Amino acid sequence: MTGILSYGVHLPVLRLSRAQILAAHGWYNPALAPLATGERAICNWDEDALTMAVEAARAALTGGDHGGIARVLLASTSLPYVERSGSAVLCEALGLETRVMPLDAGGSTRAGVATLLTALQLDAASGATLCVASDDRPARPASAQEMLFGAGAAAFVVGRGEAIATLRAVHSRTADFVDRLRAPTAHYGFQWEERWIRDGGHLGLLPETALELLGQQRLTGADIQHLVLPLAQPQAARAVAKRIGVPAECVVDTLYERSGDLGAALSSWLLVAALEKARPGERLLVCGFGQGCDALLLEATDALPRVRTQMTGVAAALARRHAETNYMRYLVGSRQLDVEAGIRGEAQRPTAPSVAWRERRTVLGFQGGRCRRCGTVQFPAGAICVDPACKAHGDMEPVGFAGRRGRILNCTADHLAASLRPPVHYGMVEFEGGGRVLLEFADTDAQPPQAGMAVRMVFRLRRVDPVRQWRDYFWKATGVGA
Amino acid sequence: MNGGIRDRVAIVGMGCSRFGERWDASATQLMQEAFAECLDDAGLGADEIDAAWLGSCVEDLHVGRSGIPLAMALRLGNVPVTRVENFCATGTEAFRGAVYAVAAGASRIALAMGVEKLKDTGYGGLPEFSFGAEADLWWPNLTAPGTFALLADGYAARHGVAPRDLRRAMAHVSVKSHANGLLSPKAHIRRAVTEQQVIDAPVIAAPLGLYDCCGVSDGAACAIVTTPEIARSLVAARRDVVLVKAIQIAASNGAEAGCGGWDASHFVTTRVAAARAYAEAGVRDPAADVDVAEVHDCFSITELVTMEDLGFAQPGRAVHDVLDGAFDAAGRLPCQIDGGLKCFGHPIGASGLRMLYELHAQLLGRAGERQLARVDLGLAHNLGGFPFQNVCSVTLLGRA
Repeated sequence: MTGILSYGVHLPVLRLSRAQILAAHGWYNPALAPLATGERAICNWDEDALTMAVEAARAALTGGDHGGIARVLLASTSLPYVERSGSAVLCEALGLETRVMPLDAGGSTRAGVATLLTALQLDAASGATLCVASDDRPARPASAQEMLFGAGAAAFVVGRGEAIATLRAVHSRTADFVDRLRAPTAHYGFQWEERWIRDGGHLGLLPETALELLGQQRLTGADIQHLVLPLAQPQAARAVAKRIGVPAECVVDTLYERSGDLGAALSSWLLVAALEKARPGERLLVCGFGQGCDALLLEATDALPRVRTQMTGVAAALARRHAETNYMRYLVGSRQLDVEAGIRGEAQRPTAPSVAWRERRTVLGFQGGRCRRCGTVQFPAGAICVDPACKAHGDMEPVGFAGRRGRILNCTADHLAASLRPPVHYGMVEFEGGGRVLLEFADTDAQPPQAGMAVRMVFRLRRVDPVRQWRDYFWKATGVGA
Repeated sequence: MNGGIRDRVAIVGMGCSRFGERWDASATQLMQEAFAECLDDAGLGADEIDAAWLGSCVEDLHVGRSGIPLAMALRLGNVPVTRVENFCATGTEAFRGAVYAVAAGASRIALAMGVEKLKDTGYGGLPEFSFGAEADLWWPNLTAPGTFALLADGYAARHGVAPRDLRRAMAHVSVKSHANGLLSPKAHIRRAVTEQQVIDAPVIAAPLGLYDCCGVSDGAACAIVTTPEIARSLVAARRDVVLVKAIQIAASNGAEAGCGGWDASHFVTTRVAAARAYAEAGVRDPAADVDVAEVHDCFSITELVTMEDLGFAQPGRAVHDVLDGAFDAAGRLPCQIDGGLKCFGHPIGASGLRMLYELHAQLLGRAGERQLARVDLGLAHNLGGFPFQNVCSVTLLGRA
């Protein structure tokens, strides 16, 4: 059966309470007060749309049997590059085969649902499609968007196999309805009056598209058990549901108070939340919005309850949280406040793309080696075995480190190293099954590293070259409980 | 080790600039300052030098590349000048080049100069530099104090030392070196500190605080070496002749960081270099035979574990020996009698030669207020790089 085979999500561990934002900006923009409930997910300094996409994709790939990924579709409006394919980086990080076809989709927050819709309509005989949506949209301090937006990612594997949800119908409308725009050179977007966006878009185009789809299927809103809307605020979602005729209790919780508006990833994120609860045979209506609307009618299969026990989703991601208690740390970490980094912070070691290319399997793929002669697992893998008792030449087989757990042998908190979130934590990690690597630790506030602690690997940003905007990515260790 | 070079090379003169934040002097001037003293000590003219080695580590900050800056600074007579770099063992590496040239019979009188001018970076701590194009892509955003701080976890775990006891012993290492530095006129830092001050200092890289870290300094030091015969003809009327008893260098091959076994409680290379140096010099019991040591105390924890790696303390006993004052000026094996890297300062390329300068002075009985009662054999130790990947040098000097 063709359909969604598995899902995965990623939400950054850091949460910023909206009361903090109001405390910082309420003097300037008191109109923020009604939005200031709950918390939103924020990226740590070393996360971006790409690193979140990798984590969500890794989660999706661990569940279900897809028989080989043929395509990777990455939807986002906040990928770090306009040129340099994010999905190609994603493929390297996931260790996918080089014959995979990667494609970035952006241009509008609609891209998330649009790529899923595309994947579901492709001929699954040619292989499975990995569909990832990830967004961390910049929002100007003291704007409503700073309150609304969140950061996160969701991924699906779509293909032939034991599907958990299948496609019943799709319907799209296209319209140059400009609620928001952001030029490539602009850091922040521009937004028209929210009342017009609500009346013309959210209460206009969106329910119209959904009703057209239902009409074509001779269904009504009452036939929908899970309505996924690309809206962060619950009252807005309720109003749209009413237009479509879906009972209020069938509107999937927008999680406004826990994660926020994840942009291109919002509908995908909420679809995973719906799939975590849906029963076989139930209908899910999923909408994407942005210069038009896509509506997607899915049906949960009999396999869903069994397959989802092997996957982690929204509930686990929401439970994995650490409160950011300092709004200024958020501003610095998101590179919106240019703090004095000191002269040490100016030191630059530009990366040569030719070196990055040669080392891509080591760096992006976190691939080491195992000596066929003596069995020593090592990183990085060289031509000569690192074990002084072996030193065999040219007898190394590749070994992935990213998927393995490890234990911290030693660690420090370094206040001298220049960082957007000092101190820098690092130390030696010993891996299950052998091998050791000196690694940085990520999300250390959530679970401070200490010797003996169990860790897992996460794909993270190492540094950004301020001149060339080159981003170095590598893997870091984080507590398995973080 | 093919027989070694024990007693085949003599030091005929040494010089050392004042160390510190030498805003007043360029690297060239620092070299000239050290060289003037060295020539005077040897009773030689610069034209008698027939080969020279220049050691500098972060050359982009000061002298630039090649051996030319040394030839230019000292107006040497178009002799071969070789620039060497080997992290914090750079100064010793320069000395090794000169010593081996004399031992090989290729050079009659050779100069080794080490220099570093670190205070033109504009920030504290060692300069930022590349670890190589590949390592730069995946190594952590690390610093020297951070990587050496990792030893504390490793040592405590290996020997079951309570963090509080280790903290106190590390503090004592620094208190001792500050006390010694007070008596060193050329030292960078000449100020006594208390154990509590060390413990209460701002944290640099946990558990290392400010006073666990050595000075980052400008300075130069040099040696002129020759055969024992020539040395006797030059200085025998005035003083003893100091001979090189051993000089060994060991470099990591990746095993510490690359495969299991090493627990970050010690330095693999130090043990190897020390064993080779003791064999070369014929030392059987280093704790008894070595009278004074200048070890690479870049951080307090480094010195502490090095006491065991060099055989000065039994495994797991360094904490107790340090706290008992074994390595204090009045202890059984005084270490860092001139203040060490901690207080004399650490201009990377000069440090190895600065250590030899102090050993030379102690062996000749001219260390002034710092002079120890009985010095027949002195040891200098450098550790360049990081605990998990480094180069170590061990040098032994004694009288003829």
